[in-house]
Amino acid sequence: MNSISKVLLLEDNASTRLIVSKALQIKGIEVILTSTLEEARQCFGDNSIKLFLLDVHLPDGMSDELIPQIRRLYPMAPILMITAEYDSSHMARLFDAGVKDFIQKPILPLLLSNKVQSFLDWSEVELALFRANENYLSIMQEKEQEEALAFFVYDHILHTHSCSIEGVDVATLSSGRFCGDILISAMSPNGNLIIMLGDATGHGMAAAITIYPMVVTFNAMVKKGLSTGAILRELSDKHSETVPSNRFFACILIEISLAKNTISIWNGGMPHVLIFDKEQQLIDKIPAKNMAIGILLTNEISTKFETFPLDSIEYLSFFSDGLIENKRHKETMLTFNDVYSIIAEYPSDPEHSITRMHAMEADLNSHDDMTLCSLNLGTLRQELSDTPVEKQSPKGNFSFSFELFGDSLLNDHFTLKLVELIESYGFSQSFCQRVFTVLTELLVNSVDHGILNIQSNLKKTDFIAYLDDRNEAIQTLSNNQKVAVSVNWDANQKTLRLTVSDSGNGYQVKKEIPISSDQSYGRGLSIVSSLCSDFAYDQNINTTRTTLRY
Amino acid sequence: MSDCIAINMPERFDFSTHSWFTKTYEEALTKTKTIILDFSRVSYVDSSALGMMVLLHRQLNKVSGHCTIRNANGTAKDILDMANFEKLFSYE
Repeated sequence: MNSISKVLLLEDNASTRLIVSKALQIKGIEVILTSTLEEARQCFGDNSIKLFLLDVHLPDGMSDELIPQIRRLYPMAPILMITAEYDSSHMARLFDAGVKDFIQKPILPLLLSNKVQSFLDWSEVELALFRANENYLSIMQEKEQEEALAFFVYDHILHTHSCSIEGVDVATLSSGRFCGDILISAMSPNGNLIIMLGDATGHGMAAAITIYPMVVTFNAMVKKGLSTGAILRELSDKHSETVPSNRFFACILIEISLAKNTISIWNGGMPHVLIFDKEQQLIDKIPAKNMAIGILLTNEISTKFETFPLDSIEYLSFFSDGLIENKRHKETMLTFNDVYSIIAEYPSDPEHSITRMHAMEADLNSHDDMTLCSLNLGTLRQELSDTPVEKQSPKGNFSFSFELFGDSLLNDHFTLKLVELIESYGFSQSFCQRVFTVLTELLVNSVDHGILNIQSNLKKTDFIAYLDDRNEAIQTLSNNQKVAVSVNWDANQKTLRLTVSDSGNGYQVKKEIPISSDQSYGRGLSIVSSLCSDFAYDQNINTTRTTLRY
Repeated sequence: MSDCIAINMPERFDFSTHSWFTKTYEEALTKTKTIILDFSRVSYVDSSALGMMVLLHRQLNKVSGHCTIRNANGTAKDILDMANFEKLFSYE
């Protein structure tokens, strides 16, 4: 303790004052000398006083009366009394009032100075402890607030982004903080159910800020009708945009398709997914063949799902690996295999399994968080067949027509933007995909064959030559060459009519020729006629009319 | 030689993708004989996409290679099926 300490000495006897102050100054301690209660009181504004040395009897009273005031103004400063009396009850009262020790007269300077120094040292340690404790309390308070915020975020995520569905059972045990696990499910527009169990690195706020963008993206992309592979890539893109790169999101994605009778599973950095048959026998385990989201770049992620016939499976169990942390069974950690065995005993009852694992913990207060999910596929198949696939069609009729001249015909974005416009009326994504294909084929047909007059069979011999021809022909496009496109939606008939005509020489509709699968050309119009309920070409007005049924 | 190379197909696989696709698979063919076309993100296709895939198939045939289509879905899958592409490619 190198800093100069200041001590207030209250002593009416001049020689004692001298002895005491000398002894302390030798130690490098600064002394404020006072000889009456009043003089001492006048020094009470000085915040640098670290210790009080008080004689008991003074001309203007007993120094006892100063003690409450000193305790209030200097709660951390030790008070030592200098006295020649041995009235033990008085000493006891002084101790009670907050006095730390007594120094007997006659004074032994060396003993006094060492005692004072020792109290000063201790007082500094006490002050440091006091500050550390204050610091600790404020950190704890911040942490509590953060925890409350994490819970709020988590609750918000669950309330706004999750729907419960019969057949998806989940059991959790939480150590009272937000654990970073989340189970979420959503229905795709095509009627498939997509379920995600995610486990973010860390706990509390750190986990919540990792999970939040993942959940929002998951829901938005499922709603948009994206495939599960595309959802994975979107999650990875979102992760790299919004989450610190040392925070990862391990997850299991499951898609259940009643229409295709399949269940597809992707496991990224999670324990095995356990598959059970009707007799609740374990028939397969799906290990994590992928890494948690956030580790690989988006284009390095494999979107390969393991797919099984839906009706071959009755139960599916999967869990977050917090489940095996801290769990002890006969003084050893529970292994993954132990946990798999426990779950396999009652695959339909996650609550039961989690209670059993909980009971194996050595220290019940230290348990980590557990999330264990069980899918009852019998119930889910029933649920999905009872849920009608929403396919609302736009109520009002609309029609647009466009005319594209010269170089405007080469705008690559035209078709997609037009399809996006049509989609904005509320058509399903699969319908819009069909519209895109039909419109693209008709436009390419009109531009390449109608206007540019490139021979279609050139594609047969040499695709590159075809492209060269096309590039050359494009240079000659003039502003009186045009393609007209019109789109008509009939809400009563639920049909979309696409009509395309061009200023060129028209094209020959050949009779249906079977196309072999390894032929690289000539599929355009056959695709159009398969996707449309009606396809007609009027050579007189060089116009193709197609109708798509919604 | 790599075991296999996965090509992540874009949302729109049509005539406008032609030069990117050709360049990508030709580069991949210098490193592998097994190609995966990841269709996870593909929403829009046209007949020239089918044509380009047939050209890829021919290149693979020359080196006894193989191509797998991963996660084809929606109308893209319907159109591949319409073209009987299961004869040229495998699906997963």
